[in-house]
Amino acid sequence: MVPIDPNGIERMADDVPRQESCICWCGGGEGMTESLVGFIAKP
Amino acid sequence: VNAGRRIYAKFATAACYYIYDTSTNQILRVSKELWEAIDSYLAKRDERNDVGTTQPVVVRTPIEQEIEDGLAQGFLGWCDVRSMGFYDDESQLREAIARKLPQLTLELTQACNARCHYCPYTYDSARRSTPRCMSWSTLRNAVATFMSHSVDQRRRSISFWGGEPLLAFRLMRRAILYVAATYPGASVTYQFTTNGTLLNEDAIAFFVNHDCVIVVSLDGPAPIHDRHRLDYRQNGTFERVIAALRRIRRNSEEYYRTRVRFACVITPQTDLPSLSAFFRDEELCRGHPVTMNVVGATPAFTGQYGAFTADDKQRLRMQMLKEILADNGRPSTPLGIAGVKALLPIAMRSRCVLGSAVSPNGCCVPLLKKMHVSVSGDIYLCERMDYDNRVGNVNEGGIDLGAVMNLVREYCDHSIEDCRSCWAVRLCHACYRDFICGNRWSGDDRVKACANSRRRTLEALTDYAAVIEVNPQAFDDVFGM
Repeated sequence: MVPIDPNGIERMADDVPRQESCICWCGGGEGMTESLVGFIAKP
Repeated sequence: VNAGRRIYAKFATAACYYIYDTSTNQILRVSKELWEAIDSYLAKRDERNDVGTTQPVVVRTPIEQEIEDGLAQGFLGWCDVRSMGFYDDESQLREAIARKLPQLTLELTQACNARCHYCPYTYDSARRSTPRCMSWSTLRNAVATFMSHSVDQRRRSISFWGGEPLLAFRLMRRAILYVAATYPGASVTYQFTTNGTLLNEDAIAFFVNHDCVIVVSLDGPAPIHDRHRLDYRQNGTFERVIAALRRIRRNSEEYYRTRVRFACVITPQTDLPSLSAFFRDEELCRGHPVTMNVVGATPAFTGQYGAFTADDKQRLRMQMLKEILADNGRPSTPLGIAGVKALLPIAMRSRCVLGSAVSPNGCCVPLLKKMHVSVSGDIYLCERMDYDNRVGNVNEGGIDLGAVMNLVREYCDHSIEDCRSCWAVRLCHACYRDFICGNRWSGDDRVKACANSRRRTLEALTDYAAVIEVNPQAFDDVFGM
């Protein structure tokens, strides 16, 4: 069992919100669209 | 007897086998033999544990010994999540909302001169027939509410949204001049998203003078862009957008280079290689940030472009991965960059051992991402929330803290039981928008939505591992992208 990125670039803890990954419509999108992040990671 | 349970997920790339361990949040590369054996071995091992026996573990094979070694290192430990929420108590959340709001988004107008096929507003008959504009008093109240709730922010941001915000250019200009005059010491940046058809010389000069960031909607070359981005006369808008971009660049090359960005929407028909080539080769676009969006998976009006099928999604995913891997994990194309950004939540994940508390999936701390204000002054967490989820009105008392707190409680109270036993609890990006309706929990499709979330998270883990296989440092400095 070998971790592939044991230290990585940790930016989050479990009690810290993950909103950094949210892509807004207003900052670069419009209308009924879904971000690529959402495409991969959202229900 | 241990409380909780072991939670993990298995996946494989073309080359390697992996276990995602929820307890440590680590992605473990393992042999195929271990990958196949681990479920039954742990089940038998824990069955003994559950009945409270103290029998020593009998290890019979090298693979079993390897698993025991991993357990001894702390991997695949017991997960026992008991609570979900922000901060230690609600007073911290109230304090943050009172002083730290970073961004105000103003829906200046509901009117739009475009009829883009994938825009929900195009199909909103009430909005189309009687498009409303924000009144000056509402705008002033929105600004006052925002400024008074952001005293601890050194840099504030105000975004203009629509409809097409340039149909309300005079209101936008008045707002920017008003903020500058009323709050002279405040550092405020402005930005807006536009379809690019109304950028005349006067407007451009004003935006250059006030250093506004312009996000121009551009879907790629003319054949792709004009397929869905039409004006109200049903004519394509590509040539007008390109002409506007040239006007901005003529006014100030430096401003154009640093303040113009693009927003691109992908539909199932989009020719992805052509799209990438356009943003790579077109001199007006090269080097500018491009936000890639895909049309919603299940909009009610997909007649013009069809819904994304599973094959379409896979094609898009593979193209993104191909562009990432072609550049050794450091893509230069917008689609490749979008792909890397989509994997950032995996790269940025916590590396600490799971405790007893988790944050509510991908939910933002309410209003600490932004405060969105509609034409009528209603306050929302963002422009993506439905109209029935308002949390106050700038003309009627401002932010309704009770509604905000209730929103968080509704989400957490209804999620904790499912989330505490889910292997994706530390990576899931579901948010209020997915399950809240009328400020109340509305999780009718919860099981299906969670299954989709887990599937997508597993795909993201697989793509991430594939990129790491090619370049272990691929994600080390991606925050500047």
